[in-house]
Amino acid sequence: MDHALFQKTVRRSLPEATGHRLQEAISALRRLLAFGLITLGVMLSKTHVATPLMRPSLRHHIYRAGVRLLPMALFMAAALGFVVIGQSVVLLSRVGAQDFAGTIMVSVVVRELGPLAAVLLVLLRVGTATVIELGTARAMGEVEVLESLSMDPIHYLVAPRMAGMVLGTFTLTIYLIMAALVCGYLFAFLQDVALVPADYLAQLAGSLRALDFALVGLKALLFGMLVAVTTCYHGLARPLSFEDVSQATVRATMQGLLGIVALDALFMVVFLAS
Amino acid sequence: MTPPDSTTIQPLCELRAATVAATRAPSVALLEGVNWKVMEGDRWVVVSSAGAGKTALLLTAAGIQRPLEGEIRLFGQCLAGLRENELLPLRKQVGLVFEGGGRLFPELTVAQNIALPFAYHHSVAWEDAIVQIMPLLEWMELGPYAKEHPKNLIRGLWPRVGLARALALSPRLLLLDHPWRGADFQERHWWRSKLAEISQYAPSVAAWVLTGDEPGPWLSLATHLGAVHQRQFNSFENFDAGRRWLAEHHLLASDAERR
Repeated sequence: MDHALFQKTVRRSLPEATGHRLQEAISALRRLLAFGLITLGVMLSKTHVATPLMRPSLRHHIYRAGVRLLPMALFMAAALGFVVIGQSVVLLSRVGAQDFAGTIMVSVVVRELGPLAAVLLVLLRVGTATVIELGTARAMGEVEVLESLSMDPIHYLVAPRMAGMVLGTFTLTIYLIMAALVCGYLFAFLQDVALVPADYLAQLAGSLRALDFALVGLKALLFGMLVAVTTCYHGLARPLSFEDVSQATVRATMQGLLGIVALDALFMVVFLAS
Repeated sequence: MTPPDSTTIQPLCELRAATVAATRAPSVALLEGVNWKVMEGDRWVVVSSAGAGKTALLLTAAGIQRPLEGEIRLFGQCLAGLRENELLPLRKQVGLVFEGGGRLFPELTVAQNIALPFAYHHSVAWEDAIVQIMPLLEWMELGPYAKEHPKNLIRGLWPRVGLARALALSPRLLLLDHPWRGADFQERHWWRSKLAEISQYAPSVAAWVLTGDEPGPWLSLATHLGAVHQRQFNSFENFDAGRRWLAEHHLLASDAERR
């Protein structure tokens, strides 16, 4: 039967399928990188173009990806502090090492879970909305309208969103880590761990290295860039119809998630090597 | 409309042996071998059936869509190989009103939709840009709706916003892609009267092209008639011959059918 619904799917052997997937992943990565570089170029070359129009848009997107997510970030920080301290105090008290609560917080929250929680929040709350907004704009022909008005769609639509997401992820990471550290101490205090604030701060200071600040800052920025590029690319870079928007959203979310995990693993390798 | 100047014989827009691609599928050819010149003072009416490629033709003529083959010239300059910063001043001289309500930005108010290109290119705040476009807003009879979002506007008025937005940068060439599709007789009459007085309110416009599914209401304003049919672009100097051709190709009701 010659109908698209009944067409046979191409069967590939396992090595062929793996190679095909790998090839697709590399090509997707190359497209994302090219889109990211083009956007960066536009942002740098058009810093002073239409500033009275672009500045309010930039403020709106920073508010949206940063300030508006703050209550949710604080809730996650409280949950993280509770989970990490709750679990570790039980284990540490068995070996009489409750005093290591601060050290555990630095290893788990500052280096790993803080940046991850912040970027996941941005991906799920702002990234998905961005794909839908840009995909709908693309499907409605807004890109052609902007081009007909001699306006750069990357500058007008993508640059403020990208800047908002990168700055939002960076600042949320810092707030989330600090709030989680405070909440961690509060939960330790509530569980009667004999730890005065000065000792807790000393443990935190003792466990933190200069490299931690650099790596956490860099990680937050790169996470933000990854989410921003992935979601903006899938929303805007290719012609879409309304029917394609949902698929583009799922694709962007999954690629963003995989990218975050892969980048985190890369940071772990760098940290261990250092 | 500015009368043609004998010293400037450059076409405002020219397509030479152009193959026009489909907007949604850029590798598919919709029209082939298009040769078309729009001169200063021209008023074109281009007729076609739905999906024949008139939107793609206008997007290509405006320099937004690249042709698969052939050459596009705007104001005497070939667009092939031009860099973005070289293309920008040429594109700014072409105003385009899109089909189906003009494709407005839903998050902006009516006044902001119209003021957007002015605010962007003149690097001014919304308030200042809106002051500048106020005469256009009034001419389009949209004053009472200035602060409304498009969703709160009668759909029939959307194309008026699109027309005002296209005129905000004072273009020399105005392209109208069937913006009154689905409009009632009264609205079509409004468009006709505005096109008739365009030289008074938008003196920068030196030529216009409008597309539609019938030439009837617009022919009295036109100087040229064109048709997009079966992957070809045809133009007619003689309107009667053009009408007969359109009737033969079922793009216009014949006299017998009308009776």
